[in-house]
Amino acid sequence: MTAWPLRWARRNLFATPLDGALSLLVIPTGLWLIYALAVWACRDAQWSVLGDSMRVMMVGVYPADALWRAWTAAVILAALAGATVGLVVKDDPFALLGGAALGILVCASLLAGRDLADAGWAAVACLAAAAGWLAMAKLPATRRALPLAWLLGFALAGGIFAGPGFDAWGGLLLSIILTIAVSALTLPLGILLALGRQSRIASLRICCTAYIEVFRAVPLILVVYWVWIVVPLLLPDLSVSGVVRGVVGYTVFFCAYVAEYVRSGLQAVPRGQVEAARSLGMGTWTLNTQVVLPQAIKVVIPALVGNMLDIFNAATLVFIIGLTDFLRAGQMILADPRFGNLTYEVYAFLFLVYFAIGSLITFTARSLEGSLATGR
Amino acid sequence: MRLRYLAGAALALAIGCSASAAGAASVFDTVKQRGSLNCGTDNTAPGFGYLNTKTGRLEGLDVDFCRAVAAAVLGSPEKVKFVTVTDKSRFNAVQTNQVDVVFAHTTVKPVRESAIGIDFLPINFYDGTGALVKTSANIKSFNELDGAAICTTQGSGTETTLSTYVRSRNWKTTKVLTFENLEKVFAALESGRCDAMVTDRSALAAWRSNAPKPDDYVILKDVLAKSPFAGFVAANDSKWRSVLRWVTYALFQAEEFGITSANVGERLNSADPFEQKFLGVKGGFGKDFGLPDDFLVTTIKAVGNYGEIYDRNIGPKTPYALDRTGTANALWTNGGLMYSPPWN
Repeated sequence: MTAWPLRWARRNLFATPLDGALSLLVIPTGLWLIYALAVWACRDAQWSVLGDSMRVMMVGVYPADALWRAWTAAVILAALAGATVGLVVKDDPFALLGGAALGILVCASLLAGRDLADAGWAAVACLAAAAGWLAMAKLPATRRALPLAWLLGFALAGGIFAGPGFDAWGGLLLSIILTIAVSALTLPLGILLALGRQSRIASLRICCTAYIEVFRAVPLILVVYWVWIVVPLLLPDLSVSGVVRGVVGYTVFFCAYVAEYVRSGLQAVPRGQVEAARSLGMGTWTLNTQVVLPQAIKVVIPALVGNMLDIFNAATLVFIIGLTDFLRAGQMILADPRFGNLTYEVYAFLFLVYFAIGSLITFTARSLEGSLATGR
Repeated sequence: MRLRYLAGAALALAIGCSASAAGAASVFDTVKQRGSLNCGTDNTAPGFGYLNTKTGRLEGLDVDFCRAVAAAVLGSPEKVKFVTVTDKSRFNAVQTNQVDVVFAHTTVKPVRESAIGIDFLPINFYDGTGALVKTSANIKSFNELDGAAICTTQGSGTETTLSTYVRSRNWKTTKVLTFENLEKVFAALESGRCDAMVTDRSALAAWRSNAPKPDDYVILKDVLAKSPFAGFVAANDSKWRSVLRWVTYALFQAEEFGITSANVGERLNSADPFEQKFLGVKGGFGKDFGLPDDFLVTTIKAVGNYGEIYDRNIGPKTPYALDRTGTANALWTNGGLMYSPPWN
């Protein structure tokens, strides 16, 4: 029994001389890095900056007396996120443990800010996430209602959060809402573009192909900046908020990518399916909505979730058009002379949060891939 | 490539349309009607525009100029909506009327007025390329750096300025070292590899204030290259521009008169006829600008005079400790360049 770790090490770390040399080089370096990081994190780092600036990083310069709106929106989104995870993770003990740890970490970090109201709200958000998960995982009947719940819940959260005006939006909540809004808007547009690209009507096909190719050929930042400049020029009498223009810019850009993902799904539907449907006398609409799309979307859901991660990571670019997203909020903290020398602490926190959210999205995507790999 | 031409043409067309549409009314009237000023500032510039996380309010020299304009034009320093602009978006923001004025540590350059289509306001801060040295080195001026190792960032405008300067002085043994970013330059100064760190003085001030012991470092008074900051408005709106120009001048003039936010109430009883006219006690300048005669009283009560704004945000008592005395930022009566045309 004692020989087992030795045998494992020999087989995995020292199988060949090259493996051995690499292991000898990499393992001590890795351990030393972890040690140095731990020493810094536990001894030198001044984490109090996070408590003092948590609110700015989460919601930017949102008015303090309207904070309940931000929290209510966060609770609704947490419940929806919990429910979505519940769709794919039913009783994996590791995942549940991870989720619980994350919730405790969030509440604890807010407690460190010495603000009981915030910590209380965070606890409510965690409970909402847990409730959402329970409903989805244990009551299969609720599953059909999830898209509708997302639509209503997201509209409600956005409406509540928008109380003091879109211009007040900022911080992590802005990044998240932007990501969800863009993901939701790009899906129908992307499907239409993908169908258009395969259409038998030549003008429609050319227009859709041109749109997709143009927007896949230009950088995101160009499109976002363009929309930001052009909207007030075209509508000089209407003041359209920067947030709305940002969402439009991202949607215009990312729906071209969604279209390509969906097209790959459409092409994966066996030709025989279409022919069989046609021979049954189905029209184009019925054919697409009943036979082709359900199979195509199923194939591309993991890719679409990956696209959502792209949107979330690219959301940092909104700082160019003057919005304060999560990353910019961190930089804003560092411009305050009280925190100017705490660069590493703030960036470490930004890294951790991005890492946690990104991991959650990829984890969900991978689980979806597993649970959707049926019937094929 | 063709796309780029098309895009350029469309943008030019759009800007042309908006310019002709905007030609009708002055931003001044729009602001008055709206009852709130849209002011473009940075929110990540220490000392100029940043968020005080304790109060949740924006602070800084640029931010105070926004508040001064709001107080002068609308009667309250709170009637301002701060719109974040970046180095890239600030000119477009003002051209497309998304903001009424921008105060965002912007250097006055000819091409910005000639080609970009903005009009600058009076200069409100003279920045410039300067040097940070260790206090223990006992260096008093840039001339003493002959033969030293001078460090800056790679590929920056400062690098060109610095090497031209060193070459023109014929300093043979002086080494100019460049690093990837200011963080590394500062680390090199800290470790003794460099004798001086050269970049914008306002940035040097921020680095000095972030050092473990700021007093170990000192910013030399010399300036190698000029970088004057000013607010700006969209071109071709002389009504709006002149109101803002004279509000800026008024802050200099108030300091020259010795009128502060604290004593402006008593100074209303001043016997000096110039002060009385300035503050609108008798006559006054407001009416012709379309403002109440006491608009400067409101402004000075709200933000103070230029000296107060300077000291509050970047002066000796702040972490940046940029001393005005003997620099271009001093009042002209003290040998600086801050000068208001006469108010009479």
